[in-house]
Amino acid sequence: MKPTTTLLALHAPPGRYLKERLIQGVLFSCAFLAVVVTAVTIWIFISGSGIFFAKVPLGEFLGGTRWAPTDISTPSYGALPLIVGTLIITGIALLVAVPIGLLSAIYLSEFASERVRKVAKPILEILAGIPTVVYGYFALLFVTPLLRSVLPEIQFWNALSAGIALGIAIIPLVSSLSEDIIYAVPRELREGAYALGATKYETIRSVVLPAALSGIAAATILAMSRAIGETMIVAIAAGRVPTWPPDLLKPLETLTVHIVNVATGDAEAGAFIWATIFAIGALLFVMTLLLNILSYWIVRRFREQYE
Amino acid sequence: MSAQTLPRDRRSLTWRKAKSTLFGSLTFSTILISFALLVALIVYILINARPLMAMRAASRAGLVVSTMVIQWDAKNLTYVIVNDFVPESEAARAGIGEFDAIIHIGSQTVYRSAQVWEAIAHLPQETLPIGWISGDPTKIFGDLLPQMDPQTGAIRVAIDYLPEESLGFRAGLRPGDILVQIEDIPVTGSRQAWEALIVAAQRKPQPGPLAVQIERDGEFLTIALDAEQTAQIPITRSWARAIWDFLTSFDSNSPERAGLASAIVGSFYLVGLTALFALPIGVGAAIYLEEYATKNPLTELIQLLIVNLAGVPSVIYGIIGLEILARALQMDRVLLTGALTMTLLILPMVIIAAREALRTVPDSVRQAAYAVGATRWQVVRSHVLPYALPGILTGLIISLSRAMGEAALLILLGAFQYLTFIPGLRDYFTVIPIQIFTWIGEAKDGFANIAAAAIVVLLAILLVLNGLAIFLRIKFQRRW
Repeated sequence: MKPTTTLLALHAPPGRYLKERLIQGVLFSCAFLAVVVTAVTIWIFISGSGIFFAKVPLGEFLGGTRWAPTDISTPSYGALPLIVGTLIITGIALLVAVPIGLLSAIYLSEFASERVRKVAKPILEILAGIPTVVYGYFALLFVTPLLRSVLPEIQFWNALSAGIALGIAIIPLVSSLSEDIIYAVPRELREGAYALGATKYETIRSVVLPAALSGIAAATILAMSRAIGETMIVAIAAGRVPTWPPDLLKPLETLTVHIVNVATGDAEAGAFIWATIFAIGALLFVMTLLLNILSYWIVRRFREQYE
Repeated sequence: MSAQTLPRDRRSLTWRKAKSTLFGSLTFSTILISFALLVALIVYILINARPLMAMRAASRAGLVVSTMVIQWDAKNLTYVIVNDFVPESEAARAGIGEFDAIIHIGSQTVYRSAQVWEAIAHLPQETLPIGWISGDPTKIFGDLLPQMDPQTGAIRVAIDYLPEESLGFRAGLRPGDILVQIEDIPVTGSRQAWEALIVAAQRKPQPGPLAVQIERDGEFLTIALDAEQTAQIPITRSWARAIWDFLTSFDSNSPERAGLASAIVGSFYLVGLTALFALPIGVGAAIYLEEYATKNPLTELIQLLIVNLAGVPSVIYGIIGLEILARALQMDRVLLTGALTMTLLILPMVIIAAREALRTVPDSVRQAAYAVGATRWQVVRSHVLPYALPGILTGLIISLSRAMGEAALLILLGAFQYLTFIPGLRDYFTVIPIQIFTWIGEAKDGFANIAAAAIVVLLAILLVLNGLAIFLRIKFQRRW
C-alpha cells in the first residue's frame, strides 16, 4: 500500500522544516508590509515637508489666513482657510450624520423586529457603497438647487451642500458602528431597568445609551476622520477656492481639495507647489491618524468591559 | 459602569409609555429619511440620465449640436448650431452642414441644445421636422460689403457678389442691393446681417419667409426671403443602441458623442490588477496574523497599523503612490502604478475581511488535521483556507467595489486624462469615476446628463459586484 499523506507527515523529510519556515517567512513579510507602508509614508511626509518648511515658517503655515500658493508675485502659505474649511465641512457632515445615524441605530437595535432589521440594515449599507463622486454630483445639482429655494443667496459652489451630501454618505458608518455597540449592551442591563419599572424610552435613555456611550463616541470620531479625509464630494461641490473668512454659502477649499488642485493643475514636476501637498498631506495624515487611534483605543477599552 | 438613577417621572404611566412610542416613531422616521435620501438620489440620477437616448439618437442622425451665445441689444441671446459635421448622416443628406443654426423644431423655437434632445425624446413619429439657417452667410447673401453713405455717413451693407444658386438670388436679391433691415431689425454689419437673420427667424413661430427690406437704385423694396430651410430628418430612437454607443465610444468635446469606452476598460484593468496584487498579499498577511502570529508587541503593532491604514484618506495613498512609484521608481503615472497604489489602499480592508473569514473556521478542523500529522502550512492550505475562501472572496469583492468607485487617489496618479484610445498597462489611463468627475466639471449642456448616465453604469457594475459577493456568501455559507 502506498503511504498516504498523513503517514508521510510522520516521516517528515529534513527539507520540510525549512519549507515551513520559508512559508512562515513569506506570510510574515505580507503582514509586515503594514509596518513598511506606514514607515515609508511617515518618511515621505517628513522629507517632503522638510522642503516646504525650509521656506515657509510653521507659524505662517498654521496661523496665516491667506492661502495663495499659485500667486507668482506674492505667494502666501497660510493654511488656516483650508484647515477651517475642512473643519466646517466636517462639522456640517457630523450634524447630519450623527443624529440620523444614531437614531437609526437605536431603532434597528431596540425597536425593529428581526425581520425589519434584516432588510433595513443592508439597505442602509447601500448608502455607504455609493462612490463619493455620485454624492458630489448629487450635492452640486440636487442639494444646492434645493437649498436655493430656501436660501436664495447661496452660490453654485458652496460649503453647505457639500457638507450635507458628505453627511449623507457617512450616515451608514455612524449607524452601523453604533448599532453594533448598542446591540452588544447585555440584555441583563435592560431587564434590570424594566424590573425597576422603567419604560422602554427610559431604559434606552438612562441605561442603554450611557452603556454604549464610548462606542458611540468612537463611531463619531471615526466618522469625523472619514469626513476630514473625504475628497471628491468637496472637490465637486464646494468650489475649490480658499476663502477667508469662511462662509457656508460660498465656495471654500479643504486640505484634500488642495491636493487635488495641485494634481489636476498644470504645475511642472519639481515646482515648489508640489512641496505644499506634502505639508498639507502630513497635516491630514496626522489628523486622521490621531482620530483613528483614539477611536480604536476607545472601542478596545469598551469591549473589555463585558468580557 | 457608573451608577445611574432612573429619572423620577411623576407623570402618569400612560404618558411615559406614550413617550416610548413617540421615541420609537422618531427613530423609525430617521430610517425612513435615509431610505428617502437613497431613493431621491437614485431617482434623480435616473432622471438626469434619461436624455442620453435622445442625445445619442441626435448624434446618430448627425445633429451634434451646441448652444452659442451672442450679445444682442445688450442682452445675451442664445441659439443652437450644428458643431460637428457627421458625413453620411441623415442630417448631412438633408443638406445640414457644420455651423448651421437650428431655429425651429416643428413649431417650437430652439434656443438651447437641450431643447433638441427633449424634442427628440417626445417625438410623436420617427422623423424630426427641423428648420435651419445655413451657417455660411454667402449661401444666403453672397459677399456683403459695408459702405459709408456719402450723404449721411452711416454704414450701409451692400451685396457685392451674389452667386445665382444662393437663397438670396432665388428670392430676388441682386448684387448692388443695400440691405436695410430684416423684419424690423436694422442691418449694421456683414456678420450682423446673419445674426439678424437668426434673431428674426427665432421670433417667427415656425419656419417661413422673412421680410427683407432693401434699397435698390434709391428705391425701397421688400423681398420675402426663405432663408430657413426645412427637412424631415429620420430619427432612430432606441435605448439599446444608445447604451451600446455610449459604452463603446471614446470621450469627446460633444456630449452626444462622448462615451465611456476608455474609462470602462481602464476601470476593469485597474480593478483586475488590484485584485491580482491584493489577494495573495492580503490573504498571506491574514493567515500570518490568525494562524501563525504569537501575541507579542510586534504583532500588536502590525494589527494596530492595519486598522489605522484602513482609515487613512485615499489622497494620502495617492501622494505615496506618486512619490514612491511614479517619481522614485520612475514608473510614470500609468495603469500599473495606479493598480499598485490601489492595492495599498484596499489591502487593510482585504486583510481585515480575510481574518474574519479565517476566524469563522472552528478550531476542531485544525485540531483534526494536526492529529493526523499535518504540518501547520498543510493545515492552513488544505483545511482552513478552503473553508475560509468564500468569506475571503466576499471581502475581496467588497474591497474591489471600493476600488471601482475610487477617484481621488487616481487623480493624483494622473488618471485625469482626455483619452480617445483603449489604454494598455503602460499607458496613461482614465477610469469611470474620474470620467464622471471630468464631465461634471464641463459647462456645456448635456455633460451633466452623460455624467448621470456614467453614474448609472458605475452603480450597475457595483450592483453586479455586490450581488456576486452576496451570492458567494449565501451559496457557500457554512454553519458550524
